[in-house]
Amino acid sequence: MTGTTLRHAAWILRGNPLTAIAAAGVVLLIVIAVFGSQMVPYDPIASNVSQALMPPSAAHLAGTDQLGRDTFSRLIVATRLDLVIAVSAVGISFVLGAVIGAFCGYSGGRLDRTVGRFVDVMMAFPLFVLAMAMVAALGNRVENIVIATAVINLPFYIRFARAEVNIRRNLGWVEAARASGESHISVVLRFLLPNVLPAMAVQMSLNLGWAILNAAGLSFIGLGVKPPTPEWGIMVAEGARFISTGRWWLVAFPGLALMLAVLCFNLLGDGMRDILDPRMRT
Amino acid sequence: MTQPLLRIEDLHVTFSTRRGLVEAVRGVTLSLDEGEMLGLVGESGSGKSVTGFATTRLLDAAGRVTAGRILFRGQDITKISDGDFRMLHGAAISMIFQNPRAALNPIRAIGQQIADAIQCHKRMSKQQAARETLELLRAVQIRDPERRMAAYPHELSGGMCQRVMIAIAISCAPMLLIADEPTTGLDVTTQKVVMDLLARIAAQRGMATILITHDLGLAARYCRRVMVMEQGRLVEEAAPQALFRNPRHVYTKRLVAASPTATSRIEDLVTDEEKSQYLAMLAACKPRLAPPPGTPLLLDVKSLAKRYDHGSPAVTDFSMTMAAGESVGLVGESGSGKTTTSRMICRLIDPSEGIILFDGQSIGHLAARDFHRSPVRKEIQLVFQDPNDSLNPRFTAFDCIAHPLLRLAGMRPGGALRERVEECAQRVGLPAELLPRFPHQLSGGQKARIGIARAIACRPRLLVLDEPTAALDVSVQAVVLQLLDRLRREDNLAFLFVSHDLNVVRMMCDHTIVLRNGCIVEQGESRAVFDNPKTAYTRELVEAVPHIETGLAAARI
Repeated sequence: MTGTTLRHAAWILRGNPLTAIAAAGVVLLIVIAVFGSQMVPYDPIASNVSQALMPPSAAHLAGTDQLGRDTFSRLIVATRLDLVIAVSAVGISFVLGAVIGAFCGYSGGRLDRTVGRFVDVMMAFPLFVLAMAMVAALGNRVENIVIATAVINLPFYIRFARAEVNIRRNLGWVEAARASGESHISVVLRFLLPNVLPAMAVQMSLNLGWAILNAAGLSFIGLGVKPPTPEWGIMVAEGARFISTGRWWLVAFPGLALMLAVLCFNLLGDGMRDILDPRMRT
Repeated sequence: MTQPLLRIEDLHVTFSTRRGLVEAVRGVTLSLDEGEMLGLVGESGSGKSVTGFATTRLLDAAGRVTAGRILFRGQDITKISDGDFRMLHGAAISMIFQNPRAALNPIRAIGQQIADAIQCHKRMSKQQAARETLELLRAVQIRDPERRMAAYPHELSGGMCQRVMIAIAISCAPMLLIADEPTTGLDVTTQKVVMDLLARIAAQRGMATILITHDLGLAARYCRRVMVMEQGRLVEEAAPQALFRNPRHVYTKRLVAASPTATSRIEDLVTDEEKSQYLAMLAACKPRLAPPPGTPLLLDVKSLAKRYDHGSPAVTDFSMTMAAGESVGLVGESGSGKTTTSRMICRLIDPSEGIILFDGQSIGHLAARDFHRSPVRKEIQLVFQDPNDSLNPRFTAFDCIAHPLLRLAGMRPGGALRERVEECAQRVGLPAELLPRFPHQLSGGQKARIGIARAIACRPRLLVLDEPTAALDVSVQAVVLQLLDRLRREDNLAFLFVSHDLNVVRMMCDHTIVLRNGCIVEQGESRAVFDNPKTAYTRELVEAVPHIETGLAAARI
């Protein structure tokens, strides 16, 4: 079973090199996140004022910042924090959103209407402002960034799961599961949700990129990870002050890291749909 | 006039797919005179629709005409430019499709859509187009056309939508109309009205028509000449009488045998040698024993009703009884409440009122949401209409059949379960090597067998069959019906057979109940109901069924 899945994944990747590249990029990001702090040439926090604001060179691949810290080391170390925030936020909103949405889509009726209006209200807010307000109210900590990012993502997952379950709830195999002795709850959790997963995996992958941007955005405006912790958003924010004096590397490299990470997750999304959909297997 | 209107010479159409090139049409040659109605009959995958699409240049991007010519009034239309073809399209060649609702634009009023089609080919003012639209709506006999012009497709019934499609198709007075399964999915009475209309319009306007259908009876009733296709080839061409009395090709023989008629019995649906096998099997089955006196009825339903919050009641005052091993047919058109009734009896939805006794024990009062825990759950099982959506796409065939055994029979994964699943598969004639496959890797007939194997896995006593063969080709239907009949005899199963296909119900069921608008119109022994209908509604239903024989009778007139 796993063998055929892997073979199928390999087949898809062969036919779709862009997905393969994106997958390789995501794997690389994960490796960097896990082992990055042991691989870096310099301590990302230790300052060295004599080496401040050096342009990229052989010694400092991405230059140094105003305190003489090595930008490349900071970029590498920041990967873990950015990924952890994004993955846990998306994970929370996916699990909650899928379950809530699936029950709404299956049952219809009052539950669906209540949750539906609640979601409408949430989506009427500018989401980033909502996240800002939550972090500001709850306190400037990593957990709160995760919670805020999860909450603003939740409406999308609820709507998505609701719609996908709703179109399947009257299909023969759902009734067949009931006739085979499944309760409503297990029909939703063990039959409908697994069938909705492929479509949601695409959404998740796209969302991961967005969550990284969101976390970086919060840090950028000062509502997130506090300096001197290395984080892409703060690095862009701090570097922005120096761009007018021509120190482009302080902004360009963290920006590039963000862009590449988001791009990889987005490209992987489409490829994942093909891998996870059993109908594509032949 | 010696030149035919349409002449197709040695047409080949190839589709490029992931598994390489597939030849869908392999050398079709036919010709059609002006004003003629030709029936193109075949099962799914026979290439009949592809032939139609090639003629109207509606093949999708993967399909290509690789060889042959299509001559329309002597001009090869496979060679002319797209621009020239657009001139022909609609004005000279027109097409109507299977699902009229899907073919109409849902956000445009039907009057506008007809006017669009007219103005596409003729330069005229809005008022003129509106006048012509009104004419067309009258021609297709839409009542109150002034008001209906402003209606949207969702406000009309399926039959009405198909009439609008016909109006669009004939709006520019085409010389050739290709009707691809124009009435599939419509009720028999609607089918008759729509087809009568189409035939009359074609005759009045001298329009040649190709009727593409899987229904031999329909082709027999309306066409002078019928062509049978199999796997991309024409296998036989004849007048309906000759074709159905003396089919020459082996495939045609099989097809004619498999099409149920007013008199055919289950065993007649196959060719002669298979028939003798089936009869031998029947003889081997022990005859059904009359239940000892005092045994409660298997199913006793009293004044069942279902009302939803909005609208008229779905079912009112439905009562019926069934003994063990008996088969009862539930017949009615769409919206008659037959599906709602069957779901209430299966205890998948709750009745608003009424009593359901199963084996003397009341099951109607148990809430449907808790019924999965009842010991009666495994006694009542279902076979679903469309085999394509009745299997979980993430389950293999094995998982599908094993599922009720795990949940209801208390079996655990292991050798015993495997044996039981294989036994069920064998009983429905599904080869064991197909069990690890996923539904999308199986054919419609194989999926139907899995659905039946799943339903009989826990050895239920009542099987509710919801249009079990409606989505299948006739030859597959014949095999599945025989299979069901055999299983019923072997296990002394009772069938509640829900169907709109009267021919099938007549063969399969001892008793028949006719439903209309949620009420029982008529019930009794199947033969009595069908041969001597007591109500006008049942008579109308019975007469609307296109039989090969009635087709022949009509052709003689």
